[in-house]
Amino acid sequence: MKPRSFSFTTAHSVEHVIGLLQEHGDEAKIIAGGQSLVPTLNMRLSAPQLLIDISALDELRGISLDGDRLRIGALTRHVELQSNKLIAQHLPLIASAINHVAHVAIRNRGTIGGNLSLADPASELPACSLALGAELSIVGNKGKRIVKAGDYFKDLYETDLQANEILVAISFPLATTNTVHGFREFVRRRGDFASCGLVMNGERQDGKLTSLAPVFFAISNTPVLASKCAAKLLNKTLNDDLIEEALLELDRELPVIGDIHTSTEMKLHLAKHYLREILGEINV
Amino acid sequence: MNIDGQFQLPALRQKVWNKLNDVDVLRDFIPGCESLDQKDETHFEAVIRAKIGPINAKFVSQIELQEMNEPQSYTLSVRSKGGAAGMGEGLASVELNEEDTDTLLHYSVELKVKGKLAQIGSRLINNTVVKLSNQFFESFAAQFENPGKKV
Repeated sequence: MKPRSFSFTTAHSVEHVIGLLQEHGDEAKIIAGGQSLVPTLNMRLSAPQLLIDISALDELRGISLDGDRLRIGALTRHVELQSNKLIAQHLPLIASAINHVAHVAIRNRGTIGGNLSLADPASELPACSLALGAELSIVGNKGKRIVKAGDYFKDLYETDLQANEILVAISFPLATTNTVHGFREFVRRRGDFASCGLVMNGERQDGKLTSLAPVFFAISNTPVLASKCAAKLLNKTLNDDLIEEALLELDRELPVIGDIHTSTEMKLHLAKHYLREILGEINV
Repeated sequence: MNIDGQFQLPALRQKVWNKLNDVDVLRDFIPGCESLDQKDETHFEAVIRAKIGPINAKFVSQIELQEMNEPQSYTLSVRSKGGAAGMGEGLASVELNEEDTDTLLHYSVELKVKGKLAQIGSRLINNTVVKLSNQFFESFAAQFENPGKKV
């Protein structure tokens, strides 16, 4: 199928984008990599009158060190995250998660900004952002603001990003020698949408975890940080009993919603299984 | 596919029942509702714009009230057509139980989606029902907490 006809404008600045969004409201959509938008256009599940192409905005590109954080421009493609040396060195969690984002063709076009603006609940990078304590730089008609990942994901495909705003960059704190991380996801075929996933980031000192952020994705309407479960594991020597006790918290704090392929029970089972596995791995 | 959930509403059961059967109230609180008209005592027609992530489509829905058991329970049968996007059929059972001065509302939805919507969205149908029902009941419940508020 082909999309309904639309106008297409190449934006020449971030201000230009915001002006167009203000002018056209709901009828305008920003297109970056187009890996989620174009299929829905072609299937006529949405029919905006105007597409605003932001691919010429070089200010939204690039991966660079910014003090004790790594800044990633919103237009950075998944394939660039995969091959970038700064990512490999400073954000090992993203380096391991990125290989699981969709398929090669999609990673060649899809962008981190598009990914986080759409915020699909089964997507890996929103969960990584939450686990790593990312900060999102958002520009709108009132200027620039910074939103913490913990305040950004609101509900199914709903973020703190407002109608006339654009995500310009995401910054992450750098991993240290104490950082521990892990990644797991269950997919029916490699590259498909996950049925349950876990990204975990934390710090360990003298054999004990001093901070821990286990974030589950594809289990609910947003990625979910299991903070009560994590609290049980902090500053203690990990053993099987302690881990099993902490896993019980997941029954209470994960708002699991089953889907057509994977029941609520199975998602919860996988969630526990993955956390148990990752904790076992880092405890060696 | 079956989804259920419950909400506590700060009002007596008869009052909740009346509001749930008031077309003007429903029109205000159904997410994306562009129009809602009563055809006869048990039939309604609604135009609802569903904006969920990348999807933005208009649905024309035929709604029928069944098994009315005032003020305790009823069933809603909904058939929605969204043009090129696809179509959906749903059956929702609603039960109201008194809890002191509050009402505990329990719903159970059985849903079928067909067409392109099913192709791209089947994995997220339950999530969508949870999101939209939370949205509806949160604003629906708020009207009881602010009795002075015009609804």
